[in-house]
Amino acid sequence: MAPNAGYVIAGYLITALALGGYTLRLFARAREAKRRAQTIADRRRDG
Amino acid sequence: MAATAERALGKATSRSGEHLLGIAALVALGVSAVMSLVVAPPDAVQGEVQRIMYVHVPSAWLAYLCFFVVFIASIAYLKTKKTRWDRVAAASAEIGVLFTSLAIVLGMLWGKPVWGTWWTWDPRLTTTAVLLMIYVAYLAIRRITDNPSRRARWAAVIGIVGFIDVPIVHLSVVWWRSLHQGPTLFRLGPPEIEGTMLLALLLGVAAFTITYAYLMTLRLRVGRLEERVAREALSPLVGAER
Amino acid sequence: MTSARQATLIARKDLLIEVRGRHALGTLVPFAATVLVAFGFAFGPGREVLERVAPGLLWMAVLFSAVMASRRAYQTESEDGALEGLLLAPIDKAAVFLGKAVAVTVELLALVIVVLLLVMVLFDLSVADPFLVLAAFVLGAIGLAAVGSLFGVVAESSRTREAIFPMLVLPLVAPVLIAGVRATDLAAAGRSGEVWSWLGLLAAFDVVFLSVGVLVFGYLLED
Repeated sequence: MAPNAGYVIAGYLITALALGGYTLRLFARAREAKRRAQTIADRRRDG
Repeated sequence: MAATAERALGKATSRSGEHLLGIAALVALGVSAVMSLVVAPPDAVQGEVQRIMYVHVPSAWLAYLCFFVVFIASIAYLKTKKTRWDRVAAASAEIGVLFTSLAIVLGMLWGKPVWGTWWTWDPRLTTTAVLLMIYVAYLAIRRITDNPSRRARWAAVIGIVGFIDVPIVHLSVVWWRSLHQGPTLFRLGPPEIEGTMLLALLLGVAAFTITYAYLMTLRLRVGRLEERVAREALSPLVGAER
Repeated sequence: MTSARQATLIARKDLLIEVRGRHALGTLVPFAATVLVAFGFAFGPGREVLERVAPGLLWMAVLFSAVMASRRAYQTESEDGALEGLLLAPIDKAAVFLGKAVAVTVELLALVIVVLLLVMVLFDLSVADPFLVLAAFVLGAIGLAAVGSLFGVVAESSRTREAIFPMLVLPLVAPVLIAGVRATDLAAAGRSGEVWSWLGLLAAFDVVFLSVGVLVFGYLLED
């Protein structure tokens, strides 16, 4: 393996993890917000 | 009845549009990665390490694009007071912090093997670091301000002032740095960019831009959802059927 | 009443409060002195190192003091609830900004004189061209005061925001720090010719931030 290839690999890996991780986090936030809105709606309907 | 159907349709199309954008981003990133890692030739001087450029430079460009969008959206918000502009600014700032941090980390990963050290106060990286600090403060102010209209206004002012400051910061850092001509400091980047390398770079920029568009669409949807939660939590309306 | 007159009145009011109560200077000067002595402990006792970093330390002390002074500029009003009064009064919002900025600038310059003397003593700084050094500090103080007076409004109403205030101001005034230290360093060394471009940068910073401040300050105040 070429010298310093580690830096390249680290770089691309970090890029993938950053972009992918943020995307997943956004999905999670969307789910969470929908769940909360539902809870409020339920509470309003029942309460 | 028709209104509900129309709204549902609107939601479905925009959601499938979102998915399409996501797939496009993934494909573009894949193609770009192949170009950058396999097709493009290694640099004559720096060797394989130079390949980091194909993720570092696009990240940096996107970072500045993000904050330009924050700048424009902030002005638009102050002029129109429409929530959508505040939402765009907040979304772009968050994504901007992501790209900025990425650009800096990648710059350091590139710099270490090339310069022998993690940080040399390189003008562009330094300015990018200052930019990061300004927008972290932007997000922090947003996080702790409860009043939505105040949050939007203050954030907008920071978004405008911060962006205007950046060229001044850059100029001062460039002058400052030029006082110290150390041993030949590689500027991050090959002295000349030949055909395939340029293509790989442009593909990288394109892929990152599509990714930005996708992340914006996603983040705007999250923004709308979270705004709705905040609104409904505060709303005193009883029996409002939604 | 013209905006300029309004601004002058506000500046005078703030400075009068200051002179009568010695609030800011009473805290700023001891604070700056403490910071400098602390720097002395951190980087000394070798005279060479201290002399080399003296301009930088000087500006750091002024920078921290500027953050404090800007925060205080709005604290006195918010404590008495006078900020609302200012909001409701039919004054040009921009005049409030300029008035505050002038007051903070004056406070900082008073501080600079004291601190400059301290540094010359503590760190053996010899100043070849005092006029240019002072010019650098005047221009720098204006820039720091402009940014501080603009965002000081944001700092006053909550403790957490108070903590974020320096986080916001410091990166924005990076050019002032860079240009100020370089100008002071060169002027102290007697290389006056090179000082002018840095002074130009400081002046440009001031013009930009004062103009932008005048344009956007109103948005920070309204409620």
